[in-house]
Order: sequence, then C-alpha cells, then structure tokens
Amino acid sequence: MDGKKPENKTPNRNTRRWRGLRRALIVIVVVVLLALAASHLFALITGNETLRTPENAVTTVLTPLQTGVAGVVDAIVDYLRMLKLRANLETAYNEIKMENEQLVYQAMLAEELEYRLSVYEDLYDEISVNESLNPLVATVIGRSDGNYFSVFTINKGSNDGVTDFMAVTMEGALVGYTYNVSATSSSVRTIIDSDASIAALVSSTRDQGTVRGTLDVDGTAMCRMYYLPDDFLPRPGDTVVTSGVGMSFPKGIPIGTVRESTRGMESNKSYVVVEPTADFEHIEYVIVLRYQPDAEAVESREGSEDLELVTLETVRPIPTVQIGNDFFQLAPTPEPTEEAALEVVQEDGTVIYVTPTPNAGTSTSIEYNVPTSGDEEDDTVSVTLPPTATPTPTVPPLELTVEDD
Amino acid sequence: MKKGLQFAVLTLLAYLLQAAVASDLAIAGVAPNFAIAIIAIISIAMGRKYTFIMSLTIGYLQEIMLPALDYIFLILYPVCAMLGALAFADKSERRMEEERTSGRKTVSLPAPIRTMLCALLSISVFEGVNLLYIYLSGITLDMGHYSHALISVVYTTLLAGLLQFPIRRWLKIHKLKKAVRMQ
Repeated sequence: MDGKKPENKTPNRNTRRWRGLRRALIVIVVVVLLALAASHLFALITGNETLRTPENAVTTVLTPLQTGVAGVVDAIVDYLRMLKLRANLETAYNEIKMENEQLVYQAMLAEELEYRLSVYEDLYDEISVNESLNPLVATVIGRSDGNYFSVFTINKGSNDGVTDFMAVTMEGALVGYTYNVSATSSSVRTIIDSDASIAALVSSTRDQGTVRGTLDVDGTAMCRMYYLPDDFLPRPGDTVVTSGVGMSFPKGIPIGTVRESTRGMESNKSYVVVEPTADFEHIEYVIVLRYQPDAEAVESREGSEDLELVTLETVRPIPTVQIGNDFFQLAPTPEPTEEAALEVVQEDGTVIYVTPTPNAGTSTSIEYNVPTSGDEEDDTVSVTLPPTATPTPTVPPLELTVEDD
Repeated sequence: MKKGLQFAVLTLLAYLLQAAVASDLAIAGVAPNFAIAIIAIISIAMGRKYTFIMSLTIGYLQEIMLPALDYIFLILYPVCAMLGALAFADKSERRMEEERTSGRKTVSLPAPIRTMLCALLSISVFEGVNLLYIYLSGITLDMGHYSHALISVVYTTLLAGLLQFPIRRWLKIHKLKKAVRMQ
C-alpha cells in the first residue's frame, strides 16, 4: 500500500456502458423525432389521417399542459397588468390631485381678483360721483381695534393732499375722518370710535345733532346721536347724514340709520342709536374726500363794510335795454312849437298851424342806447316804429295859468 | 440521466415559453423568440447533438400545435439552430486534435459571447427566411418589416445573453468549465 487507492476497473466499465446507453437513447430519441416529423410531413402531403395518430397523441398530452401554463401565464400577466394599471391609476390620481390643487388655487385667485375688481368698480363709481369732492383712493395698511377705540392707518398722507379731519368713506358711507397725518400715511378714526364726534342731521326731519361712536351696543359697534331736539321722535330706518358743520365734511354723506325709536318714551334716554352703514369688519380700501369749504367767503360775509358783491358770469350775457338816460322809461314827447308846425293860410285869410303829415312808406327811426357787458363796440339798437294810421292835426297849445295854494 | 431530464425539461420549457409567454413580453409589438434563445444556450452548453434534438422537438411541437405555415417551423428551427451550433458550439475532440496537429491558431471566445453570437446567427437566419417567404408571397417589404425583424433579432440575442446564466448554472456547466480551467 503506497497510499494510493487501487484503480477500480468497474467504473470504467459502467461509464462505458452508460455512454453506450446514452448514445442509444439519443439515437432512439432522434429516430423517434424524425419518425414523428416524417409522419407529419407525409400526413400533410398525402392527407392520410392515419399518419396523424402520433401527432394527435402528442397534441393530447401537450394541450392540457400548455393550457395550464397559458392559464398561469395569463394570471401572472393579468396580475402584472393590474399592478401596472394600479400604478397608472395612482400616477393619474396624483396628477389629477395636483391639477385639482392648481385649479383650486387658480379659482381662489380668480375669486380674489373678481372681488378686487368689484371693489375697484365700486371705488371708481364712488369717485366718479364725488369727483367734485376731490376723492382719493387709499389702502388700509394697519388696524388698531380695541374695546373702546377703532382706528386704522391708510397709505396716503400729506404728500397726496390729505390733511386732518377729512372725511373718509367706503361704499358711499362715512367711515371716519383723518387725523395724525404724516407725509405718506394717515390715521383714520372711525365713527364707531368712542372718541369720534361728528355733526349730523336726520335727513327726514332735518333735526341736527352729534353722532358719537360706541364700540359696544349689544356686542356690536354702533353710534349714538346726541343733542337732538326734545320734540324729536326718531323713527327706525331714518337716515342720518353729515350736516357739514364743524369739520371740513361735505354735507349729506350717509352715516347710518336710526335703529331705535324709544327716545321719546324714555325721558332719561338722551340719545338714539344709529346703526352705521359702513361695514367696519371688511375695510380694505377707502376714499378720502379732500373737500375744502371756501372759508374766506364765509368770514367776509359777517359784517364787513367793504362788502363787494360780484355778479357771477352767466353763460350768455343778457343785454339790458335802456332808453335815454332812464332805465326802462320812455323819454317825454317834446312840446310842439310853432316852428315845427306848418303855417297854412286859408282862403278867408285865417292862418292855421298843421302838423306835418308823415309820408307813407317812411318811418321814424329812434336810436336806443343799449349797455352791454361784452366787448362789443356798437352798443346801440335801432328800433323802427310803425307809421301812424291816421294823422290828426295837433291843437295849438293853450296858455294855462296855475294858481299856487 | 439527470442531464437527460434537465434537457427534456428545458426543451419543454422552451416550447412553453415560446407558445405561452413570448407574446406577453412583446416590445413594440415584437415578441422575442424564446425557443431560438434557449436552443442557442444549449448549443454552447451541451453541444450539437442536443441542439439538433431540441430544435427538432420544438420545431415539431410548434408545427403541430401552432401551425402557422406548413413545414416551415419543422424545417426552420433545426436548420437555424444547427447553423448556429456549427459556427459557435464547442468543437469535438477530433476537430481540436486536427487543429492542434495542423498548427492553426483559432480564436476561442468566451462561452457567454458565443452564446449570444449563436443566438444572433440563428435568429437572423430565422427572420431572414421569414422575410424571404413573405417577399416571395408577393408582399412588398418596407421599413416596418425590416424594423420588426431587427427588433426581433436584438431582443432574442439579449434574451439569450440573459437566460444563459441561470440555465448554465442549473446545468452546472460553469463548474465544469472551472474544472477544465483548473486542469
């Protein structure tokens, strides 16, 4: 024993046997396959159905197997397609979701723009109506609401011509007035502020009073109107407007409507509650009325000696007719004189005086002085009188004496 | 015996994949040829005899189960497979001895490359014959036909390149090759 295993002759023999068997098997398989192929070819050529027997046998065996495999494959394919469909659905869902979010955002943007447009339209209408009041659109840039005060800041100041105590309106209703004006911004004290006080009148009765703010009437911001006449019985719904007294407010700006009419019934209740017209919860844009009353004319009206009335110019000057030196009075007819009358000697030798006969077709022209305010050089108007129908001789003037008392 | 069973299973698998699965894996409407791909793998892994048996079996089964055209599959599969096998399959010991004695230097490509080249040759012949058949039937060939054939060739070649690794591992061909290299 040299440590090497003795060579076994049996495996070689087995191997050789296996190789021979394998070759024989291969040959058999090949022969069988060739036989099957040949039978198929001959069956196709000759049309002999007997030759199709092995083919049918193979088909019978293979068909269920192929059907099962096809079923499994179809199931797998369907499952994969379902997964793909699900993935596509998820993708489509995500895309639609994103698109929906974008559309919602755009819709919100559109609503905001639409709202702004309506606000701008309202502002434009208001400005157009109050153009004579020198309106100015301002944006609210800050608010300071408290329990007793309600003020906000706008982005317009003295650079834009804003001064203190100018009326601030919104949607045609009074919101408040400016104060603490700086160059680029102004504060606005609203009419519901407890510190606000504005002269007002009830439009139906023209009774005047003072509107003051109160930030808490039944939990709602309201105004109260004080200093009304004692016999005033307010009616709910009466409109309260600015009276134009005091501050430089235009007259007639709506403040609110009378809410309660119990003043007359309760003797100790010396005010009426006025519900403001303006919506103080949604103030974004306001209009400052840069209205300035003519203060000089008001001052000079009171007891000034050198009062000078200035006639307003009319569109078309009306001429003033003046005859002679008197205004709208005819000049007296001059007395007849002997020189003016014609001396006629009758047959019996008597002399009579006859007024000259006007010639038909001719007319007497009288010139009137017409004063005009324009620059016209010719200020005379010619009036032609019609001829007298039947001239009558004028009796010579009598000598009358009047005795004094 | 085990090798024979593996071969039989592979043959049946190749037919079933071609008959039941290939159409579901179509790219741009072009299905790959599983049968040609697996035959090419077998050509390189097991030799020409197995190639012939497999191609003949698959051709016969296709002929009787999916009779698209008379004789065509029965003839075409063995022809294409044997062309590929003759060009790229392992040479016999006698052939190698002849080459050694004659002093001719031959280039021996790696098996994966030869598998893909074998599949390429087989499927190219297969598609070429099909195009020729169509042309002879009176149909004018256009770019659609050519692109269809080209996609089929590329797809089948790549499929053979992918499938060869699991099949060779299952047949334990890679261990055999390693042992040969060790010697």
